[in-house]
Amino acid sequence: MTTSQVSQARIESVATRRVKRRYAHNGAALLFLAPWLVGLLFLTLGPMLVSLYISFTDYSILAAPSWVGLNNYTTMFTSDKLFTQSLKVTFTYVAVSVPVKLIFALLVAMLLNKGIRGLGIYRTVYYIPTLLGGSVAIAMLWRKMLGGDGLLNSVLAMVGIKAPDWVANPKYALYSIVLLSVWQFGSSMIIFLAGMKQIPPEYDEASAVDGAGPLRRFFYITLPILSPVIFFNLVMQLITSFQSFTQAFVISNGSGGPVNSTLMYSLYLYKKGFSFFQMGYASAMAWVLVILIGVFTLLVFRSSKLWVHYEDGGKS
Amino acid sequence: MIGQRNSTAWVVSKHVLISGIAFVMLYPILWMLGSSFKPGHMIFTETWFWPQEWNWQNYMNGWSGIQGNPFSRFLTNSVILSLGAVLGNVISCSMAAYAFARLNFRFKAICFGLMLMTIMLPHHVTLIPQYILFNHLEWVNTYLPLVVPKWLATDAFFIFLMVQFFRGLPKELDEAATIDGCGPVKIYTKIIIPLAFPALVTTMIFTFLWTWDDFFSQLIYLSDVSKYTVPLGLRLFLDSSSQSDWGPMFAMSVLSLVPCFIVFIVCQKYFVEGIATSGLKG
Amino acid sequence: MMITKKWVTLFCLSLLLFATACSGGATDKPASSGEASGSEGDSSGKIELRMTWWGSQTRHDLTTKVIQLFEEKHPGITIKPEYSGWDGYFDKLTTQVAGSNAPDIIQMDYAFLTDFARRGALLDLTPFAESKELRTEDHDQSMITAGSIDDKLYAITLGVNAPGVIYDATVFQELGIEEPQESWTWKDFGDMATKIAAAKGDGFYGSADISGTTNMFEVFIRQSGKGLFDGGTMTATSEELQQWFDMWAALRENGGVTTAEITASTTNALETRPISLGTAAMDFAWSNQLLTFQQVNKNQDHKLGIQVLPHGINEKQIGEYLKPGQFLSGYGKTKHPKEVAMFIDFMVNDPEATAILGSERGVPVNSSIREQMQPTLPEAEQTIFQFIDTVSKHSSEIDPPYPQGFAEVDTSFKSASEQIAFGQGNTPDVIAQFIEGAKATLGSSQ
Repeated sequence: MTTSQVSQARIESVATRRVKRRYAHNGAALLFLAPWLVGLLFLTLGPMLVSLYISFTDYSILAAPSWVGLNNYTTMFTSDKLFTQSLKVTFTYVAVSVPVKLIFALLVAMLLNKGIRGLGIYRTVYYIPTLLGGSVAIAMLWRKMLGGDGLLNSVLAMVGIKAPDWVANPKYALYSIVLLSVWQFGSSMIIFLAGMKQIPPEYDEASAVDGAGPLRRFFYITLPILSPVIFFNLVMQLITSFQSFTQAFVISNGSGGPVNSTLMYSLYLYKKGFSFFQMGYASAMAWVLVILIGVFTLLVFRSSKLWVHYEDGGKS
Repeated sequence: MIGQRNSTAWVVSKHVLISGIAFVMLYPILWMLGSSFKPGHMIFTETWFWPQEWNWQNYMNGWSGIQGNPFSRFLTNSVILSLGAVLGNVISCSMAAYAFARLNFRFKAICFGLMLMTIMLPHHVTLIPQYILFNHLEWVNTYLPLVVPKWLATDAFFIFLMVQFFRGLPKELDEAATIDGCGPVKIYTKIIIPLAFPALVTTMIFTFLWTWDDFFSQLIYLSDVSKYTVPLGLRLFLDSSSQSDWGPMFAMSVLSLVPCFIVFIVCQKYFVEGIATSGLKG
Repeated sequence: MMITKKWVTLFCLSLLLFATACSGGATDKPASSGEASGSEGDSSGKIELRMTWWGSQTRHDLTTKVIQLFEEKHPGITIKPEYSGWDGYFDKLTTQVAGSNAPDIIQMDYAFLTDFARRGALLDLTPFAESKELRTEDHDQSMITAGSIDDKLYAITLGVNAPGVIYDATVFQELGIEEPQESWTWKDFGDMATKIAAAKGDGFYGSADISGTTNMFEVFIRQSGKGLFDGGTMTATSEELQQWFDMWAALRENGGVTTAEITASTTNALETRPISLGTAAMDFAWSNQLLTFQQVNKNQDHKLGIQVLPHGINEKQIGEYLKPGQFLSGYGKTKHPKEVAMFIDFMVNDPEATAILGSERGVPVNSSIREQMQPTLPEAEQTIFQFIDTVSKHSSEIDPPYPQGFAEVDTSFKSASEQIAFGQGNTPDVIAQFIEGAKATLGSSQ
């Protein structure tokens, strides 16, 4: 064969090998993905598409939907003041609670990972708030702690400070919910702890022997290895806090008050759909949220190329 | 590791800090515990958690449940439901995560994107279509709508969680195993699952707790009071339009925290033991 | 590509599935509305009905007893109870209606009646009332009106209530202030509240601030001779709204009623109301809540009383009215309308059944049952019966049920009152915004 023919053949074989490598696991993938695919097609995708359809209708749930086109979407962005309010509330909530929660969770996980006496007990204790979840008891608890006559204010009163009702005052109500969310940092902490358990201790020991101080070890060993887990926590906290519903619902008694200061996006959505019988509008809101979350998630994903390090050598 | 770190001052202040935070974490539980021993009308009026008068009435009332359904029935129902969900999630989500993390296949990116999108859509709007679907299947008033989706990896949160964990494991392991003649299935069972045990345990804990606490879905799909689970049972004590039985509600809430604690403490062991990194050596 | 085709087919399938379910879920007219003898055919076999209600444990106990009694008397019919607390009740019911899967007998609430009835979710009871299978001749006419939409009877009143002012008689006595009289006015109320607050000092208020409760504002509007809603519009003018909010603002200022923060921190749960916590002497509530208020009061030795709402000065008509506490309705698509009507009739007219139920849901709607029952009741319940009696003598007709979209207007009224209380924006602007919002909401909902 001529040189060009040989090189041509080589190029082709490389190409085929690449394709083969890319789709090497098609069969195995199908096997492993089978449950998810079934669930997606039959339980998730259908209802999702239906809700997309409903977003273009006026649907009271009790009667059949009637087509209104883009009406819901235009109303949302032009004349619904509460919609704008709910966006403001949610953005504030996300911007404050996500970083605080993650940093707190990481710090506490680091503290607990170092092997203190009574570690197991502390870990359980820190997780207790999350155990209480969004129960009705929480709402009452929170009022007892942060309410006008609550524990915090009694303590402040001892020092002579007359504090407002942190839960019932529209200036602060949202922050009491942020606090509630941060207080329940247990889940993120557990995930960090689990991630830290996957870090081989040899890395740490080796670099210590090499003379690296604790801070250096943290930034150059721990953080990079932990970065996939940090990334996960960041993305999930972002997604879940945009959708945050239960805490605001339970603390404001479903009202989003006082004066709509705790009207989270999901709460407003729920009210529109179930309390006001405007499920079409609620569905439109839901899909706007998907786009919103999608944009932010995409941004985080894009940024991850810069700071997330995968052991398997891959990119995100 | 020597010198500064182990000085008494450092250790003491660390413990003080951690205990201080711990008390703040604990206070609500203490309050709930205390309230469960107080008579109904004292719960709202006392701020400090320590009861001025102790009585067991709340526990007795709560335990006898509603309408011949003792609270133990609600507890049992919840346990069965949660365990079914845990098993389903762990198996189906780890399978899907393995595919995304380790296998190369066509449309991988699209599938991944789809998976993430399912997490982003608020569940309130898919509730009605799903209910209609399950109603057509005649699964309403059974546990099926609450458990079957878990076996079909609909909790994409855990797929994503496990993908991130799996990707933290070096590919050399897989390659070594392939050379030894292992196919993808063997790699999954013998390498990935054992090494990513913390991720599985995390999934177990979260699935258990979230199913245990899930009020809304269980409300929508369960109609027979005898099938009620803990969240529904607790709400039976409350009626914001008239009088609520806060005492028994708190008592039973405290009681229903017990299984959660047990699950958490049992699973915790696996965080302590960690995972031997034997696979990496040699 | 094959994949795209698959997805399109799937999409169409899901839509089809959903569309059939949806349109099946709500017919324009409830089935068998014209036939009074609906399910004659299967009356020989076993009939199973499902019934749903919300309430406290007490109500669950009493209602299931009534069901058992009914089943004893009608061996061919069994009734499966599905009950819960108030939270989530209507979410679940709405979902069930969407799935064409709602229970046959439904406890219904005044605020949701129009929404459900107009969309065909409820059974038309008119034929059964006419044929006397569902006897209504001893019922208050206004209660029948209250349960009718577009001249069709959809709901039977389960308990008669009336709005009133609950007051702590012991505090009044202690301060030497005369208890509220039937003829008192808003000015009297204001004076009393101010006096009490002044006498008791810091942290104690004359009354809870209810400026955000639409139901009570409605009474105020009724005093100017009209209902709060007229068909699909809200009738309150900006002057009337201004008057109302100004009155409460003045009382907040002089300490007569609770501060904005305290008001925002109380919920509808009776245990959290200031009068129950011992920090106020009056509250506005419904007559059947008197019992609960007494039971959850922090000071168990205090005695509570109830009085009619204050009259308007120069009012055109009395604002007070009798209101259904809750209703009992049938599901629009039930397969056994006859049996449903039978049970409803049993629950409100049968002497044994009503004896079991007592006045837990409110005063019985059947006047002859009421007369029978009254002497047998404990003192606190007698007070309620007497109060209802008083109101029935000093009241005006109930207005037609709220229009669709009421829930949203109700919520924005509360927000508006909170805005004013917290001083966010000036009152005329807030009022204008509220009126505009109400117009838009009601306009698009009809």
